[in-house]
Amino acid sequence: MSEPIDHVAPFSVADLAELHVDSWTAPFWRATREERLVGCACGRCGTFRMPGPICPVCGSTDVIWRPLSGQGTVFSYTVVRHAVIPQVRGQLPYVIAVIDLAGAPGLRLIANLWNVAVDDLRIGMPVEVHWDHISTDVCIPRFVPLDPEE
Amino acid sequence: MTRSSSIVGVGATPYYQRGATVARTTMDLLIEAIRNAVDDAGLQLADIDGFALYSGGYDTALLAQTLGLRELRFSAAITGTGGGSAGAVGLAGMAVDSGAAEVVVTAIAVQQRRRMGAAFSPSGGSGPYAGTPTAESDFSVPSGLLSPGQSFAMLAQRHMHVYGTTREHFASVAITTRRHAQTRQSALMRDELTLESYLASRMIADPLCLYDFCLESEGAVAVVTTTDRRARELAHRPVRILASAHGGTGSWGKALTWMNMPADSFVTSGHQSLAQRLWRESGLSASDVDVALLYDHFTPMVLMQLEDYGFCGPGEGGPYMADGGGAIDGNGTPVNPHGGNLSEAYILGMTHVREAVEQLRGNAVNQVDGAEVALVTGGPAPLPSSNLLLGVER
Ligand SMILES: [Zn+2]
Repeated sequence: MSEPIDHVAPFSVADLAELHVDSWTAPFWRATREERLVGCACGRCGTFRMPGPICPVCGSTDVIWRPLSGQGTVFSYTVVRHAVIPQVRGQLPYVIAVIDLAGAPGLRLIANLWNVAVDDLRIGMPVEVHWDHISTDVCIPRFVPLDPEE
Repeated sequence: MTRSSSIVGVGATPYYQRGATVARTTMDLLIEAIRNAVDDAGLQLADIDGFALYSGGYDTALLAQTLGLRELRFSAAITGTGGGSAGAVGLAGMAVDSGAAEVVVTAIAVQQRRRMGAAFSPSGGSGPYAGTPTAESDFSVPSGLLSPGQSFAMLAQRHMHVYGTTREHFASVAITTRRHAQTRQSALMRDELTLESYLASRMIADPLCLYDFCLESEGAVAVVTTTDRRARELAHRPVRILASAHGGTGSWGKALTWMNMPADSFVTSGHQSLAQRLWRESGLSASDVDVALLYDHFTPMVLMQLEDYGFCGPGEGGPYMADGGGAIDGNGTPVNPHGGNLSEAYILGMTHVREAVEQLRGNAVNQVDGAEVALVTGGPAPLPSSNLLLGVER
């Protein structure tokens, strides 16, 4: 087996977090700067989707950005132990997860899990958003385990 | 659609380790493979009148001029990467079936130059698939999701969670394939692989370790497709195109970078609808397949394709392979007797087409006795992916 690793490093590399927003994704990233997590939903039928020019269910281009609680559950994840580019070498290991967002059925976000031990990682674990201000313009949502006591 | 086309020629360069072809050009490798395929068919280069390609295609103008074509009648490519491999041969068949062209070449050349791992990286990557950063990649890259291996690791992790699939199941794919490669001269990796060495290898993107990844290799493979009628006059037993499909369900879409496909699709290879179309068109099913050439860029995707094509039930891919279902001397349909992308060489899926042709001609290195039907798949990937069902005249 590979060397046991208790805790994974938080992943935050500034030069990977340069954004290239378009008119459809800009509201998401504007909201993150204010530490608000929002989900793109169809203005006609309400279906959540990744931001983009048309609803895949009804074809409407109307969009409502729904405020989300910032909570969710881990749908799947990987512990990255190999640096595919030099920039991430100092960050290993890190966790990439697929997060099922509470209150936005069918919408999932790719995000890093912070503050978590490898042995505790599991699909279905409750998590909540944590704001990573990369720069004054860019804030990336990360997730941390949700303390069940709170 | 009535299929009336056959593969009549197959050719390749030798397979090389990453970096070993650096003094040559992609076009140089491509031409060597195409020339070998045309020679194998007993045709002339000038007979070629069409290209059905994938992975972005090549400079058709340069190809046509370099090869000395009399008249180019068809040129098209399925987009995507290895997902289009099997379907590009199907596309060649469609060009021939429709009468648009008569001798159509499908070919791929791979030179790694830089590490494939840099696939989606905006700043550090300049590999063959280096992605240009976009509004869409803003939802993956800032989390360090930079390579296909990391995406497939998350599909694998969920498959383990839902079905109880284990690392030993993944290992069985790598070990079975390696055992096949040991008798194949063209295979780059022929050392025995044990479960112990599998488990001791470097973890890359948990749960995927070194041996769950395909090789990084270089080389080119080409096949020639023509009409059944003309095929009967040529050198080899024709290998008929029975059916082919490319595409997939829209919701799979950008599956591997956005991961928003429906939960029941998440634990698949994205090939379910492609498989249904293939079986519907051919009137056959998995039980009719004598040898399966499944695109093996990552071991878990072999398990999921076995499930999607109906060689076993959903979630049963792991036990199927671990119980010897894919072994050449096993109790199921042999999988990748050439060693696949994992042990022979990774030439973006065309080695699988080559092996299918050799199996159906009856001259494969690890010949499956009496093989008459071969399934070939393109790599599970963002759309379009693809497949191909080949058979011999009965
Ligand atoms: Zn809608």
